[in-house]
Amino acid sequence: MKNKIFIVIAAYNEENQIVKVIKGLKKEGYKDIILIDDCSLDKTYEKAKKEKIHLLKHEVNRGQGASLKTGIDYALQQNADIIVTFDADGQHNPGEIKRLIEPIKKKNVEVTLGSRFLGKSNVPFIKRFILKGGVFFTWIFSGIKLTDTHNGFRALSRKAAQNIEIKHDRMEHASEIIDQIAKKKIKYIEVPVTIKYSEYSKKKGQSVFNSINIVVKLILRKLAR
Amino acid sequence: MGIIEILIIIFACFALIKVVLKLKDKAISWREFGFWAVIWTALVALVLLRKRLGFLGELSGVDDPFKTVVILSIILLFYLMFRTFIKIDKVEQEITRLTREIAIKKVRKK
Repeated sequence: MKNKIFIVIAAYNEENQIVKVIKGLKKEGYKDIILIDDCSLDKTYEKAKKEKIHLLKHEVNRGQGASLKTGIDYALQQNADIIVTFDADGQHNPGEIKRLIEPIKKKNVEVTLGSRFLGKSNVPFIKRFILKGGVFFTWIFSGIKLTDTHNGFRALSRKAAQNIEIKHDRMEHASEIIDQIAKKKIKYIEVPVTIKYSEYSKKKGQSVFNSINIVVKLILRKLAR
Repeated sequence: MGIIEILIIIFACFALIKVVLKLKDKAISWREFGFWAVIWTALVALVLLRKRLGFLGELSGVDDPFKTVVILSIILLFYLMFRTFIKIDKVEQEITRLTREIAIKKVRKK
């Protein structure tokens, strides 16, 4: 039985990349593409409108976590069997989606997590430092030892997508997904992926300050619950 | 009585008047009025009856009853800040929920 694969892309101010990203996915044969425009201030939505995709728009900006949750919920409504989350900034290689979904198709795991440190990515030093900090933090709070904890390139089976609850709206959602995988004992593996760093994507990436902000928010949330 | 104490009394009286006016305008409930009235009245009482409230200082181990109140106020403020964070977080979650529902309802299918 053929699996229904949906690609979910959360986009915010990606008018320069979004058409290229969508066309790249279509070239690899992925027809079911869901784009969530998180109330972009530029022409992301207008440019995406011209492509034949499922297009959703947040009326107010809520963050990548909220956007992915919107996309995942919609994908489940459309009877998706496998959901792949894919970045809108052109950092991910659509040719590697096959590698991500294969273990799920074979029913070995429910979630595959992309790791740039297992693949051939040229990670800038500061970024590497921040990400390794994220790995340590995730290990402390979730008990899971991964090589890359903040990679937006991941695939979820339908069952996992239904099971994982994303409550964090912003970038903390990445840690939250891993936390859920640990708590709900969802079977997962890490898969090597390539992250393409361009001057454009480096500018859009997480700053050290924002990374500290994410950690503070996660700690406060844990105390509040 | 020092200048600071006079200023505190004036400020507390001003705050109390504001609270009464808010109640008159029905901007706050009787419960909220009661809470704030007690706070501002207690502050005035603390300043005026500082010497008689010396036992408070003995109870807490801090010399001055005024210092005791300041320390307790700081603790209370931290607690209220934490509660405010939780409330804001809940409101943010609700905004997100509504935003997501609207987005799914208005989807532009391929």
